Amino acid sequence: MSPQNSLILTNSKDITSDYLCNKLKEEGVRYVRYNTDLDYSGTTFLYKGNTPQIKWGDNTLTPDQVSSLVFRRPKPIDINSDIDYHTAEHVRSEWSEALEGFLAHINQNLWINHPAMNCMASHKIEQISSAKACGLNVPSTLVTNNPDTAHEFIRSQKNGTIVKPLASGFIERDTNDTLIYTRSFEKKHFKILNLIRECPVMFQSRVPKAFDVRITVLDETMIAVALYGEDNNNLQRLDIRRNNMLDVKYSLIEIPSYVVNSITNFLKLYSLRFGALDFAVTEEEDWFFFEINPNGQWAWLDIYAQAGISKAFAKTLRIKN
Amino acid sequence: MVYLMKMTSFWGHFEEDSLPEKDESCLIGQTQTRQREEPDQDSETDSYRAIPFAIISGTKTLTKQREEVDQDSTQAKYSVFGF
Repeated sequence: MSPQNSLILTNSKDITSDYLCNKLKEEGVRYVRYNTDLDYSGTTFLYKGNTPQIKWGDNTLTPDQVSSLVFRRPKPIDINSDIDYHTAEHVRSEWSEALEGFLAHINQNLWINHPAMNCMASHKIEQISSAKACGLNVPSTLVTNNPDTAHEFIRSQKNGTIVKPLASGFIERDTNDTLIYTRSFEKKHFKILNLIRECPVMFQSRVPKAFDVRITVLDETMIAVALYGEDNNNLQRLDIRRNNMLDVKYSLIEIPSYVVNSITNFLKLYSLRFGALDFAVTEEEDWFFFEINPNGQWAWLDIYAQAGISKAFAKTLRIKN
Repeated sequence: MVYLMKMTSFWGHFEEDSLPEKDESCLIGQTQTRQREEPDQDSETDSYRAIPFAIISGTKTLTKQREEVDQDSTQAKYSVFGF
């Protein structure tokens, strides 16, 4: 029987993978790490007799030797040679296809997560529909590029309205890049509401937050960390990511059973084994779902909140060994 | 000029300079030489925007008004893997 290994499929600069691999080593969990951007250059690829094989460094791997696959943000292959751009692109695509052909032999159930599942779970609007269907509370939501509809929605919100971008809060510019945080829609913004005709905008009723919560799920394990960070009025701030989160205080908390059940169903819906979910909790202890990041960050919670997520990974990957 | 462009856009009224908070992602810890985790959204691999980073062998034929190659490299393959 060939030795079984967990495969960490990542890139050479992913520090979460560095962190995870260190923890797996400490826990005695067998793994191999493949950095898709660079390791190809030392890889010998072989497909013969219906079995693909890759060799790199001291490692030799066939798909049947992979007990689990942690899909942790692999990057495009970085062709580092003197050949012209177009030839390099062709070489890149040939290498990609070979490696993807190897990976396609690995049973989808072994992936954490399979990227196709990540894709399905990565659309904010659809997340909201599915979260509601699974019984999670979601703030009243409108996405539109119709100013009249938006106006009506905003007027009807008792606790105010927030706006947030759908795809990304980061704009790369020639000089200074800019950020868009989740923001409150104020009276002064009515005069620019017509500008939403340029692209749909997400409006949500403002949740009076007591604190934010990040829930990290890995198979049967759910770890919830409360995040406390105030604004200038000493209220839980609208977007916890501000100030680089340097002032945020962390605390491990319990998740109500009805939320646990809903999250379980939610992840099953997408066939996800891992997920990072953002919630807010009110003073009345109502839990509101904001979004899920199927390949979200988690290592900082281990360090700042002693969340034990790496231990959960070790446990999951060890069971499969 | 950039300012004017921003002000004609809805989101331009909500944009903030990233310089004071250049890296808004989370610290992973001092032991990692102050490196930081990337933002949560893995835009390269978690959505269909992953496609341009992967195999795009058929793309150029579009601009030359040819039939695309048989393989639908943008949807049907594992190019969704994102590398």
